[in-house]
Amino acid sequence: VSGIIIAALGAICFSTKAIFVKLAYRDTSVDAVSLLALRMLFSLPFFLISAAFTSAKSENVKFSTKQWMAVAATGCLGYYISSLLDFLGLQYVSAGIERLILFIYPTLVLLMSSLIFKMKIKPVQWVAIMVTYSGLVIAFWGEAVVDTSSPDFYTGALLIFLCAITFAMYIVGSGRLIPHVGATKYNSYAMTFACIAVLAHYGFSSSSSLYNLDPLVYVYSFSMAVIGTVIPSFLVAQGIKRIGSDNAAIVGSIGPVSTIIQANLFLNEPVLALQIAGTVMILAGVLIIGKRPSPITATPAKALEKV
Amino acid sequence: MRKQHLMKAVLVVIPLLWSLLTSAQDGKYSIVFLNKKTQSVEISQEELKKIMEGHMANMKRLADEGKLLIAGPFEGGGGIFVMNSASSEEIKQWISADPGVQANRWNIEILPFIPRHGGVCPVNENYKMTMYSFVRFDAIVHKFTAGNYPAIMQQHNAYLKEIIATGNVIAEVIFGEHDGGILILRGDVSEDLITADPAVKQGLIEYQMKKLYIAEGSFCE
Repeated sequence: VSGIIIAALGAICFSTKAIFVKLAYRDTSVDAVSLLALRMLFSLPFFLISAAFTSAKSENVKFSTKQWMAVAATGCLGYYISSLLDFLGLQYVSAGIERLILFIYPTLVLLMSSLIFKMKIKPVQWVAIMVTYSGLVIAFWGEAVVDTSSPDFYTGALLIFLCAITFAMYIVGSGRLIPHVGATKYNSYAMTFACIAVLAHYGFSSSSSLYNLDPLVYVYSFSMAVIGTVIPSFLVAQGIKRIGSDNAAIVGSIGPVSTIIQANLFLNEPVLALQIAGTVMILAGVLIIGKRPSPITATPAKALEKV
Repeated sequence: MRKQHLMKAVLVVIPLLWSLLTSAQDGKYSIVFLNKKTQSVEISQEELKKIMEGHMANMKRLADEGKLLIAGPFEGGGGIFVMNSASSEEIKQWISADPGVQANRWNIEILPFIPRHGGVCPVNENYKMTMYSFVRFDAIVHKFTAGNYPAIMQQHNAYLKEIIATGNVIAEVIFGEHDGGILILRGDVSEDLITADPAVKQGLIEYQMKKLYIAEGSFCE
């Protein structure tokens, strides 16, 4: 039982990120870029330290120029552009709808890899994609009817959708790179490149200092990094240790529901029947797609033939 | 009001983390990695010979005492021990008499050894040495794999099952449910087999591939 609680707590902590972003926007006048820069500065050390401790690769593989470029490009795409679009979008849409739109990214990964690597999508996967997008449309429609006050609702939704697309691009791109350069090295450099890009963006776009912001901004961005990323990373790992990955994955799917509930508790976002219905459909669709290893993967039998 | 919420969350999480950090190791065996150092101290051939003789003698003693169950070197240096204890403290003590360990020849790692395929079968006097492909997996958490950790682990396990189904796997062992492990295969294995692993692609798992020289039958094959 304790394993279930730990895994659930991990999933709940992960789902606090959007809540903290929304709280920061509500309670302070911070802009998206400053918030992103702070969040990154707070979480980067944790991941660099853990990478230093867990790295197993003894030999140091040298990157080629092409690989350096690819690491920088995918790193900025995943850790900078995608996050920025997310933070920008959250200025206009609710935390609940943000989480729902982001949750469809596995369908985008599937579609992209079928386009690029000419992988065939199975009929059951097509059904799953249709269920997912129908769920999204239903939840979206439910929200759009209620949220007529904000003329920027569609802009926000578009930004979040672009965030999902760029994140899917990151997944597909890094999936080709990571096996060759090693995960630890890839992540350390990708995060560092993205960090430089965010700080450069901040330097160009903002005249204020990162040191003189409203104290609440620091509280929220620190919480985002620690409660929203670092602690749950640890909890989820421990959850798997106790109940196995199969059960932990099932428990982990409470994430979007948890965001909706927290958004209601902390941000007074309404819980809509259509939103719940849409969430269930999206969860079901994504679960079916996640069940099979990604279509980028060759089967072991095929790989063995090459020996 | 909001600060209270935050404090409550912190008060719940800290003792929880503490209890997790101090949780016990599982299984009954451990694997010791004697990793070749990238920059080891230069020593004379004579001294090296003496160390290796002492190393072999200590291994034989540990094997006779039922503490060392499997041992084998990697091609290119370093090697592994599979030992009959789940306590890393106990194992540290067992191997402390090894002159190679004393001379700081290797980077030592002690991890749980939990076989999911194959087993631990110490061989008798008349054994035949053989060469297997040895793959080590290490789980590495970063921002994007952290949230999907269980799902990616699930895909990794499914992929390993597919590899085992090909009949080429001697042993599949984990260091723990949430962690990496090792895969030992017959013959030469293409790196493509491992880079096609969904968990390797998504960067949750980092791998190392080596050749292991070991007594045939050690993993109950």
